[in-house]
Amino acid sequence: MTSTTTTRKRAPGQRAVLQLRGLTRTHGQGGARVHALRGVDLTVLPGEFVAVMGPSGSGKSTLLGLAGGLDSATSGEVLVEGQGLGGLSRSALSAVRRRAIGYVFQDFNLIPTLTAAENVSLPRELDGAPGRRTRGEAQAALAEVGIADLADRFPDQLSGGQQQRVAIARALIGDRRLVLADEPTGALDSATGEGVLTVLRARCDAGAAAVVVTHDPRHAEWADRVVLLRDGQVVEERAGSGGAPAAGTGSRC
Amino acid sequence: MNLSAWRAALRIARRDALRAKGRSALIIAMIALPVVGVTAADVVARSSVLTPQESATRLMGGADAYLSTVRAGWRLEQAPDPDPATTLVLSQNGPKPVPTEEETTRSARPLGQLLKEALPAGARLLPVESPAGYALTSTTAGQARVQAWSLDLADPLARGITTLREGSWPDAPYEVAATTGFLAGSGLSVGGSTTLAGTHQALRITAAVEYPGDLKAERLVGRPGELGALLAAAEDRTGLTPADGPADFLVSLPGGAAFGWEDVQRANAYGFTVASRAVLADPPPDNAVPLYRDTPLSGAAATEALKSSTIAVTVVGMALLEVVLLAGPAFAVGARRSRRQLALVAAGGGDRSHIRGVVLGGAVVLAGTGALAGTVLGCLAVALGRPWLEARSGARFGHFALEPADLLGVLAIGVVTGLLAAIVPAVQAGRQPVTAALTGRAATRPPAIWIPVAGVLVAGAGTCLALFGALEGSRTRVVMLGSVIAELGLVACTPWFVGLLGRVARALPLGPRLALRDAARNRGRSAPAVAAVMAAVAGAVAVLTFQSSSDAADRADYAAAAPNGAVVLRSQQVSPASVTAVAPGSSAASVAAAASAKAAADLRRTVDQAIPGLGERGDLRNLTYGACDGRPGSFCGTVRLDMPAENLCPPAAGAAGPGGSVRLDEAQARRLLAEDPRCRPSAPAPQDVRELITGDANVLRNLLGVDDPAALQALAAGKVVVLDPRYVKDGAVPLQLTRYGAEGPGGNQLSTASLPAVAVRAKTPAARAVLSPAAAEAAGLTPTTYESVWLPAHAPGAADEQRATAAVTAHGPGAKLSVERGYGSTYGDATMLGLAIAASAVAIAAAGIATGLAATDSRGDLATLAAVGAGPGIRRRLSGFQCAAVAALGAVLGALAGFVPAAAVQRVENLGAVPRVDAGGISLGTHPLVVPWPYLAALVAGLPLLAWLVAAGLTRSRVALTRRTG
Repeated sequence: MTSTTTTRKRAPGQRAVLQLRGLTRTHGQGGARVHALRGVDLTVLPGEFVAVMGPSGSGKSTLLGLAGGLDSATSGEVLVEGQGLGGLSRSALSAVRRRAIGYVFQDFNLIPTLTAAENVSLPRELDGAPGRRTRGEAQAALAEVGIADLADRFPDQLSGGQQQRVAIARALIGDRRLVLADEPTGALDSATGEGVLTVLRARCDAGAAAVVVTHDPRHAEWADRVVLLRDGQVVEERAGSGGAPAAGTGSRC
Repeated sequence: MNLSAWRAALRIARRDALRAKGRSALIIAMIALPVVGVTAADVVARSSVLTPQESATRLMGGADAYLSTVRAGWRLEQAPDPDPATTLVLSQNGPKPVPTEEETTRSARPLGQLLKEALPAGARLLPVESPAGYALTSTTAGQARVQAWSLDLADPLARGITTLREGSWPDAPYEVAATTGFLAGSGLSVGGSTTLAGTHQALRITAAVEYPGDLKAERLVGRPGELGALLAAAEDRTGLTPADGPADFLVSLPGGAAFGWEDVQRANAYGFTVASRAVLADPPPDNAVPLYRDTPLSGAAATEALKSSTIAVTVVGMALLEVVLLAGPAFAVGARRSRRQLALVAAGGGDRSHIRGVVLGGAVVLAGTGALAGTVLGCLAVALGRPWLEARSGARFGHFALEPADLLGVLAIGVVTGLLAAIVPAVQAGRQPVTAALTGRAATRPPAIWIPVAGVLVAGAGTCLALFGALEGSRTRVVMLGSVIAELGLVACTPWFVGLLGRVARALPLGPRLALRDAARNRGRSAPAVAAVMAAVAGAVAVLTFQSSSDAADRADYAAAAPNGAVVLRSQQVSPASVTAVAPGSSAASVAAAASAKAAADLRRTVDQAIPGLGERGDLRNLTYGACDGRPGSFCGTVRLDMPAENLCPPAAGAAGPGGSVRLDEAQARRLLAEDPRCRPSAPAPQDVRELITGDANVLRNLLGVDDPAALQALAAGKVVVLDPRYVKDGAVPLQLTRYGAEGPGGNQLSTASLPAVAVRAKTPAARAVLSPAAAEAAGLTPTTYESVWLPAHAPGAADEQRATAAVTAHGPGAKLSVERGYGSTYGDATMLGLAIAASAVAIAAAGIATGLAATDSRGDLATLAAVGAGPGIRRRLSGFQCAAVAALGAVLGALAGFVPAAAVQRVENLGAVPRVDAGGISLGTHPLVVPWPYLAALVAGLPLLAWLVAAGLTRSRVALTRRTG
């Protein structure tokens, strides 16, 4: 495994937002045993946009699940903001997800019965923050992703791109600065997808960290670093261009 | 849709039903349960209806006819199935109540000769003695009441009237058969013996029998002429009237001849009614029945039958509505879960009717299974529970009757119920855009506005019909119809109410907000559940409100005969006429008086011994005017307190006689009550309020609840203690004395008197006035019946009371012991509680079904919530709120809907009441609607809480965290 690549905004001695150490995960028993991950190490620093690539079944989604505490590792260690997730109870894990980690899914996964603003403020509400404050925070988060005027719409009244922006706003509300995104542009046309990545990039430039699973090399160009997984192992790690890909490969929204 | 398309739809439906086993089982059970009930009710009803042959056998055994003597020698007219209530004796209650000469001569001839003339030649008669009254007979524990009948049960003609359960028919003198009902209650058994009260002849019980139509009968059946003769001999001591020889006979005709309608009419001409086997099996046409010509049939029985069938139809209808409402959401969710499959059917060339067909096919499969299972189970339940059912109803079935037409009808109702429940989901599934369904995008449509508008109109119309249409005609049906219509209107409004909830959810915390919005977005499953809760709660609230109103009315009308817990003993009075031997120097009257006093003293001692700790005894005697003991110069009469006219409520002054009352209109009654202090609401009076009694401090305290030194002083001073101040005028109470027959026959002499009096308030107005024995004697009033009153600290227990009653009864008839226990509700709390619990169970089931369906529907959302950081309890909390939301809305709507029928029925009851005024005061006759607040609060507030707890308690908190998102 190579050491992490230096990026533009990275200052020496800065604490990692996410650290994975020797992470393995096996599913099933005996003959049906599947090694989804075999000893993965990864460190993500604040402001970093890391793209995870690889063919189907290489362990990308498993990695994301472990990093977010949705799944537990067979061995190895996950540290979020310096805190190990291994020994935490289920409710403590939930608290970590509320306060430190934001998820973005391919199919958006907004709660259909909540408005855009309510979806965004959901983690804060679950954390017990007072309603008026969370509403203000949600409004601000929606403004940051450029859809402040859609706050009172329900998800089924929003386009795919708009829904994904709501999901990103939800992932970053409060003090959280780690976004775990699983194919965030998978269900979007390329122009809309570019728009979503622009938003993610902008959030990273503002200090958040993002781990984005994708299989589209053009999207990986947005990343500061690209990690290539195959058969549960990191086989390549290289620097990305850290910004919009060259003209002609995609258009900004 | 053509046949093969239906076949395909049914195949898909069957596979789906097998795949979703839990949901299928739930729907099948919901359809099957009411079908079980209806089937069982039908089989029981059909089995309880006897064929003419069966009812003839129960009445006349193996004979051809059953003959009763109504009025020997007098002509009469009877119905083909004779009924003492309708039998017309022509010269008695006919147009001319004078017997003809022929009747007069015939009635003077002996019964045997009349029978011979009245019946076809060669008829054999078997006498039946069946007096209606009861005698007392000895048991293992003491005495029990029993009917003493006589019939030669061993005779073949009597076979079938009773069923021999044990032993053998009586065939020696003074052997009897006893009914199982009597044996069970008395502790006696076959081989034992019993002695009728007042006789010394032991009767040996050789058989245990039952009357198939009257399993609870307490009866001894002796050989002809034995029991009646015993009782007749004992008449003087038991006071029972003996039967005047046998008056009923089993009639058997020679050579298998039938007892035809002409023969019956001939017997009628001699004063006998006849129930003939042949006539019962083949009744004559109505125009051949003289009785029907002479007395028009009353429609009362028909109306009653219509009323009960209306109630039955309504109850079954509401139960089926419940099933539709409960099963509807299950079908809706089934359609939703197989949305993709339905869309594939559409993509493969199916049109809307095919999609509807698949959903309806599911209903046919599940409802058909449920209805079939329910029908079979219903029949089985009746077959297995037959002995219990027969014992409960008190009569054996004629035969086990399965009516194929009925059962097919019930089966069809079950299937139709399921289809009705699936119609809305089927139509919705048919409308689903195919692409949206295939891509998994949900399309929620706003509800059509005309539905709630129409619902409100229908609800309003139903309410008006129930409340105001009930003014005339067949009230029960109108009230029920109106209530059901109003409820259906509310059912149509529930989707709108649910939508409204979704809109007000904005301000709520996350959990309730999610639950309400979810309910609002998925009206397909939440609205029927809310409606189901509503229907259950409405039914319970209606019955509870009506019951609590009736209970309050009964409580208001209840009059205590003494303070609570008081024991009252009334002794028997020995009549001078019964004194047979008089010693020289004394009169029959003095002997009788001494005997009465001794009997009273004995009885008092008996009670004091039977119930320890009764405390001080108050002895009183009722006063009258005139000794009435047959001595020369004695006369009979009454004494009555006379309320001064100026103290009467003015309209009551116009009443005819002292007990009379005057009708008022309601406005006048209310004005008098408000303005005139002499007019007060009449307090409920005990049935036999004592007019004037002698007594002391103990009587005042124990009987009247008076503990006032002023009253004691007044007694000591020889004054009358009057318990209603309106009777006292200028320190005296006017009395009205009536002397019967003073001026020739029929003429009564009235006179007045006045005694110094003091008015005292009584807690229980069991007497109008009390004075000391000395004062009574000075006033020339005669003491009669002895009574005693005890007021123990606690009312004696049931065992003590029974023992004392037995001891008192042993002294002979006429003495009576009673314990005042206050108002006892006939609408037991247990009934009301049971009703509330049943309604709660249905409501929780409905809310639970909706919640379970919501939970399976929102698995994805829960995973998202978990990913966003919701704690492990979120699923549980959400389920709780979803369940509570359904229960709360349903309970509130149900409480409102339930008032309509209750208020309407109460209104109907009050319509017949007329305000009246008498000396006691004004009674409005109406009773207010009493709201059972504790139950209402329990239902409206408790149900949501219970729903929350049940749902939260039964939901697993674990959420599948990982999910493939790629």
